[in-house]
Amino acid sequence: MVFWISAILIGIGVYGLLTQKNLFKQLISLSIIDTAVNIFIIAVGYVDNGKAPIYSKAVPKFMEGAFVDPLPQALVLTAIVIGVGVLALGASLLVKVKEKHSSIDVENMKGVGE
Amino acid sequence: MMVLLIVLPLIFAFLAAIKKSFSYPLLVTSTVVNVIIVLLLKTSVPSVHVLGGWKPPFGINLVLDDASYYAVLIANIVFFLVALFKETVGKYSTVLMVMLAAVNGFVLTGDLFNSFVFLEILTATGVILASKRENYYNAFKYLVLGSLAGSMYLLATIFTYTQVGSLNMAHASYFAISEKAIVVITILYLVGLGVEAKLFPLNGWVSGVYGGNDLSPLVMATAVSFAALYMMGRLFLTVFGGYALHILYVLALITIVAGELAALYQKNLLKTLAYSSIAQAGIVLAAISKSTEKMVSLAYFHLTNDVIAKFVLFLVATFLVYNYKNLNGVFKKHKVLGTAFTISSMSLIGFPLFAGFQSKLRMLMEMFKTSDYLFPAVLLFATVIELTYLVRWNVKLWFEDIEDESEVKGPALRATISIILAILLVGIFLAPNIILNPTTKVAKALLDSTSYINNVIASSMGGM
Amino acid sequence: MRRFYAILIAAALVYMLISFISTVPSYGKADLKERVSDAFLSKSVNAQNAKAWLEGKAIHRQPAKEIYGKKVKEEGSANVVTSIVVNYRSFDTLGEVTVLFTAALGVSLILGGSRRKQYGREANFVLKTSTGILVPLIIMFGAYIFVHGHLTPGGGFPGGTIIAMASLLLYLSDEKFFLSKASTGALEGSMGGTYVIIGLLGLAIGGYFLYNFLPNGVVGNLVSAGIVPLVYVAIGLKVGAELSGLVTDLHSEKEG
Repeated sequence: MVFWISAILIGIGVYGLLTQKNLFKQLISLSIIDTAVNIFIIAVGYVDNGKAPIYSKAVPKFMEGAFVDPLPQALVLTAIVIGVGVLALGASLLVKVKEKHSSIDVENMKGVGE
Repeated sequence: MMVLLIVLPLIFAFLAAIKKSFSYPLLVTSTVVNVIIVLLLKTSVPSVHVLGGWKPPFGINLVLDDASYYAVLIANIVFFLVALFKETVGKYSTVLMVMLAAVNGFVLTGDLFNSFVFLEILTATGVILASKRENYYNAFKYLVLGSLAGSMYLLATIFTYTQVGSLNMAHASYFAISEKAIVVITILYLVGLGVEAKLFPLNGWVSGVYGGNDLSPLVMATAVSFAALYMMGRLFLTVFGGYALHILYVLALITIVAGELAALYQKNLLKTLAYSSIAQAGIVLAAISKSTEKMVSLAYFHLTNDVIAKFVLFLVATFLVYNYKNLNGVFKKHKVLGTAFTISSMSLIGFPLFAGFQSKLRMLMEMFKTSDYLFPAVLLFATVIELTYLVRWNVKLWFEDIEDESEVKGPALRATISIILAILLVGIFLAPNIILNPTTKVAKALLDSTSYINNVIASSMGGM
Repeated sequence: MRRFYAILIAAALVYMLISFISTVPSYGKADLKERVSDAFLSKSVNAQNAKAWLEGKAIHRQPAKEIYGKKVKEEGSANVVTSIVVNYRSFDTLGEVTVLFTAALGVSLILGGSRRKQYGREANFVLKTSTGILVPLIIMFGAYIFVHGHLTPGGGFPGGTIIAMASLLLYLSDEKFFLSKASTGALEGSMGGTYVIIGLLGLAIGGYFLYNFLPNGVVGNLVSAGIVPLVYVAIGLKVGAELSGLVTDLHSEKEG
């Protein structure tokens, strides 16, 4: 089932966030979690034999069970854009971390006091 | 009109992108305009603005009741004060304008997905502010945690959608969600908001972000923190009243102890204040989790005192840390700053004659009345530890022999604002009802789900 | 040890999510009658009685009716997802536009630079010629997607991204190409301001922020749905300018 795949992907993403030492791999784990949540949102809206919610010559009428749920699709539109924005910010920070600390691996970073 | 509080800073930010040189004047204009609008909005509490004319729960609505009015008032005043410091703000005026719009939006919104979007804007702007002064690694840690929190918040919102059928807070509050579902939803919201609200164990980012530069703690330890703790109250009292409060209570108590102990061993002034912020957030959350009108009112009273005190403390501390290499005896050269710092730290500890005494004493008395002895024990333990490290810092900054002989000009604006706020703290001790009356109204508004729902439904019947 | 705790926490989270999944209607059996989407699909939000729904009665179910090619009073876009994104829940889209704006702003503050980073590589002949052919086609395609956002899938965000990819292609194929931040910044800011001004016009004319004050027209025509195509054009140009600015920042370095 699609929901189970989404839950397992979230688990994999969280595991990756907690154990990976390389900062870029943490960013990728974050991306996996974002994708898994988006899969879940779309799957929540699926209706058997429903078509994409666009009125056209082929589907001109509103009928029961004709379309899939359009609201999760609108939410995912926003969620994907937000994920992209966060990824862009994270990657630019990593460029600067590499310049300043000469490594993006937590164990090899120089000059990080705690 | 409450929607202008969100929209005007946004349009000023977009204008600042056209011509970079106008960004600081636009920041000052937008914060001044926002404060004026907030003061004018006092007469229209409670009201609901329906966006686009589409009735809730089909469309998005903004809710201005006593609770959100108070939060919006404090946030906008803090941003106005921060905007006065031109050298601290530097190139970050546009970011501050977007953050102002996001804080107002986060507090005023009545829709769960809308609050997710504003939470993500807050995280993104917080990360950018945190990266000032080459503080990149700590900003990255905050980005990772903040983004994880956002995903959990989104997941909880979608879970609510599958149970309730809409994304509206009033609708979710009214609908009877099944037991199994609501436990999962509230735990995910706890994780999602807990990162911003500095809950244990999700607060690893605080010391790096608050202690890393001179702009982020001024804004984030005060306004953003207030908005996040307001939202905790809104979600866990009005919308999902009564669930996950025990978990919140236990985690909040652990937060207090962990924060205070970590602050005790810190040698860096900004990081000490950061850990103290964590502990204060824990106290507020523990009081909110009690969900009685008196305790919630005292929670926000304590939060107000903390916001004022932390603003002064960070204002003084960031000036000192970035101008002097060695802080011994530095207050002998800056007496006004030192007085304000000492008054605020005494208020944080809870000495009589300062505001913190009123809030802590009333909380202890209220807890003893209800025979809960765990929270008072933790609170008193925390106070003793605060006493130790804050007095140690004050002694070091006032009485040690001066080792750093550099002469730095006294900052007039900083000194004026810190001493005015410090005097305000004394004033709150003498007349606590100027804050207690509004916070009692806040508590009433947060605990009264029925009138929240009725306000929103009334707007949906009368509107389009 | 650390891996053991990580597996424990991840497993606990997955268990919690799976225990929730059992309360969700199974895959494909979602009942739209119990959700707001039914009103969005039948374009009948104004006819709904929210109080009745709250009290437990199902949404006022509309009978099957023709929508494509007819004049619908409430909302005019053929693409229902667009009608949600730009009309019913337009405030979320304003927030989304702000997130992208913030991300681009953050990248320029963190990685800011004033001149093109030289890698010393010369793009080969195939890339240079095909770029000359492809860039106008890409820009036209991107513009087609956001202009037709209310009729076909897509809209402002994919359309703007495609336009930004045209600028990325130009960066890859020519070491001297450099878009000035002033021009992308001006386009980005003015388009963002346009979106907010459309909202404020709605506030002034209809009393609600982002009220749809233009006539709705016939569902399925290019000129229909009131402010929706205008907003999507503004968003498309804004996102295109924004992401081009982001690509510029990734290819620049500080002076001296």
